Amino acid sequence: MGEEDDEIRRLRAELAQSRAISARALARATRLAQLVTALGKVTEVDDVLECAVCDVAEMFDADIAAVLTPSDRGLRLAAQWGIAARHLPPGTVEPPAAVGTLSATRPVTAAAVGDSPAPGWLAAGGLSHLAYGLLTVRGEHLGYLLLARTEERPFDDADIQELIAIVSRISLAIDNGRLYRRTQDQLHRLQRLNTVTAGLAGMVDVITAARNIVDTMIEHVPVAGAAVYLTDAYGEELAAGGGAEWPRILGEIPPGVLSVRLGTQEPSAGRLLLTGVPADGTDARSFLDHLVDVGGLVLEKALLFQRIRMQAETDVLTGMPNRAYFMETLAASLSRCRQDGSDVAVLFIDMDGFKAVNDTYGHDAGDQLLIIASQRLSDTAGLHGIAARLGGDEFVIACTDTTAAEAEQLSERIQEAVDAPYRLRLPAGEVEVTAGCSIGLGLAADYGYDASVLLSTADAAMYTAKQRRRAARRSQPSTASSGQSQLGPASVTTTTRLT
Amino acid sequence: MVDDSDRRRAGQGSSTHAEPETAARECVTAALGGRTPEPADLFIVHATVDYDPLVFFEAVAEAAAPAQVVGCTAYAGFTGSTTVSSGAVSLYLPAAELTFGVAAADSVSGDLRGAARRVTEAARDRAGGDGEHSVLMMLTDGLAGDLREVVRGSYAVTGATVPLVGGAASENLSMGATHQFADGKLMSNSLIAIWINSPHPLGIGVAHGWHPIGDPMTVTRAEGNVIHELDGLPAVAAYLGQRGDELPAGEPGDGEGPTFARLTFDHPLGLANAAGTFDGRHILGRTAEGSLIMFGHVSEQSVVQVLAGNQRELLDAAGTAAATAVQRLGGTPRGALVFSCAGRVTPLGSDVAGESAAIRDRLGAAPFAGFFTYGEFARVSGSTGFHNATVVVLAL
Repeated sequence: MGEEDDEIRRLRAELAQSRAISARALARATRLAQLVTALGKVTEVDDVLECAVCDVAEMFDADIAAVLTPSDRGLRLAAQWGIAARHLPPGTVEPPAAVGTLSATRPVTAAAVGDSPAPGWLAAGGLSHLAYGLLTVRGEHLGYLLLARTEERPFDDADIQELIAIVSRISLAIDNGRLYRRTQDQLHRLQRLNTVTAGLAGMVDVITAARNIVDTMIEHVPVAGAAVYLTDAYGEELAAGGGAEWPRILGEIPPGVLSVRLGTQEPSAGRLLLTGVPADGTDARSFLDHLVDVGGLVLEKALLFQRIRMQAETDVLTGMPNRAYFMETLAASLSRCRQDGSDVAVLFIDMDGFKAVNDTYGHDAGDQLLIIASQRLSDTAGLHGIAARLGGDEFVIACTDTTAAEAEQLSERIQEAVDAPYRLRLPAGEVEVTAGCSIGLGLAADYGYDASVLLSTADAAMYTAKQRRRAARRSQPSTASSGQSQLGPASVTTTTRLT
Repeated sequence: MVDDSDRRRAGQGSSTHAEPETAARECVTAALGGRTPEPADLFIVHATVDYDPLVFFEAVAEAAAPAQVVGCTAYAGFTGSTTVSSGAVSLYLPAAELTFGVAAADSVSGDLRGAARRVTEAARDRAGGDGEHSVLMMLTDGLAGDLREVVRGSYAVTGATVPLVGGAASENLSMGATHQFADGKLMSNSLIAIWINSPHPLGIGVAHGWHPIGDPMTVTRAEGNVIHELDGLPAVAAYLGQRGDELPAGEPGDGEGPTFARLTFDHPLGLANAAGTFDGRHILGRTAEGSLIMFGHVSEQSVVQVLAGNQRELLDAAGTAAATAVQRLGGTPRGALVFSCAGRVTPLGSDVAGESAAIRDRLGAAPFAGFFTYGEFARVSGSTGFHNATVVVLAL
């Protein structure tokens, strides 16, 4: 029985040894494939490194695995497995002496700690054997893989041969991860550019567009400071700025400030000044260049829109607001004043002598008369109201937050201003004429806060006033004097309110 | 008169009483052996799911006060003198020269690694930082997810220098829910970390004794702890093909017979490792598509074989684990904790108690207690720390 037991024990031991050899061979045969599969499931470099240290440590039965990557001052511990957080080396570490022997043709080395001491920051780990692998791709040095075992079990030739393949795979995975990150960053920048462009593209107000260009530069590039200057009669004037103190009128470009013109047309839409710009050749600088292009187009569009809107709202002959703009503004003012409970006055002005001047001296003289009259109306209305030309010789003034008494006082000043003589330049020489006007007054407090009704009311009142002025003129003798044509009443003030 | 050996000696206890309060008191009283517990002392208690766990563990905490109590539910428990298939077991560890730091966290499934790191840090802090020699013991929910993540989370705190030991809470193989108890709180889906500081090394041994059968198979498609394909075939079909039998299993909770997990516990899959052994992985269930749900992560392209066990080899392995633990302890143990896989019960058959006996033979007179787990933790060297199908012994 004793011999039989011994034989059974021996056979069992042989079987166990055979199984161990088989299991080890199976594990080794597949661990590279396992790692490649695992690395294939992660994309970010950090995940690649995390996967590398965890899985390689398990596959090689190592206690510690670490990836060291180059930094400005030595090596940085980019990922690790088996070092307690409190034992991690602060900052960067010196390259272990053993990595000096690594090269593209000999990318892995292994040794007992007795032959090749562990780095100081690993000395407390009770390590027995270390292996180092060089991480490199296309000649670029990516760092090192470090494996350590505490047990007295060396990394054998089979381990080393497999580690050579593994550091190559990890290097490729890191390279792929960086490519993925760059692609993602570019995609992200394109998405951001798209979003920013869409936001800017909606800008039609010049100042708002300038403000958004500045804010976008500071927030999204980012730059330290940005300012948009627009060219006007005073020179280049600040439209929007941020991140620094910017002068209102641009003189000499300060040192350290990048100046770029905005837009593609001549003259340029404006100028963009920038401080703290990213270095040439960087992705951020490329993004900045894109934004400058977009900003220029946006500013050009806003300026064009501003011109078109001005044309649409302005009377071509006199430069005054036209009927459309006046009615839009009046409606807005009425809406506000209705809520405030304040009054709005509309003065309807019709020139009495315009037709006579036109008929007598021609259309050019008539146009001169209208231009001078419009200037007088605008000057007299001043800040109290908005003056507009409705068409022909009809003008209108709207005053907000006013009273009936104030409106009548304004009407008297207007009557006086318009009734004053006009000096017209004719081919034959200057001529002085008087034209005068009839004024009708409508008050929202009396007739309601409706723009059309108020204008009609003022028009009707003007008509009544004109009738009175005609009646008054018929009752007065003509007083023409030398060198002066008197074509209308000059002294009768007839502001009329309908009752 | 209490001498020094009494103050150091661990105490084991057990009860099969039907009432949870009584069982709790009996467990604690037997383990104390007439001694009075101190606040720094530790009780480790395991109970089968026959008891209301809240009633049972609260009664343990009351009886063991002011000592700290940790524990979990178990498929079965054992001590140096008995195996308990319906009841409770306990081990009393007087602190003496040891320091225990206990920390727990629940709702851990969403971030097992992060939770493991946090509870390990907290346990270490409560133990007063690193000792001259330290060991981390983890008790976890066996159904919380990929328990390899627990090892990885804890490893970030322990590093390679602090060994890991422990077990995953189990129940009656219904794969329903397990419970854990620490800090006076009953939890599920939780982790408990016990950081042990000692002036001398503590011994850990791990072994399983299973052997491969059939042919090696390559995991051709897997995600996390689900194996979809083996050798390009649906994993369940490939697995059953290797076993050469059908398993008419019910589904968890349907009451239609034993679950697939229960029927496969005696034939786990083994992953060949670099050390020349097989890491066992038990099967938690199967999907309608024919995939195998495993207790732990299985890497794609790894090679697996079906494992089988016989009484003799499993019992030898239990003895080996205990002997290794004693050897690493370097002295006579005053007590031991044992974590044995629930999957070992079926192949051990009528000789389940033989496993305790094999361990006792190597521990000498040292009291010990343990339970049949849903996974074991053991790491002394190397990186693999989560196991299935093994016996893990911590000798103190």
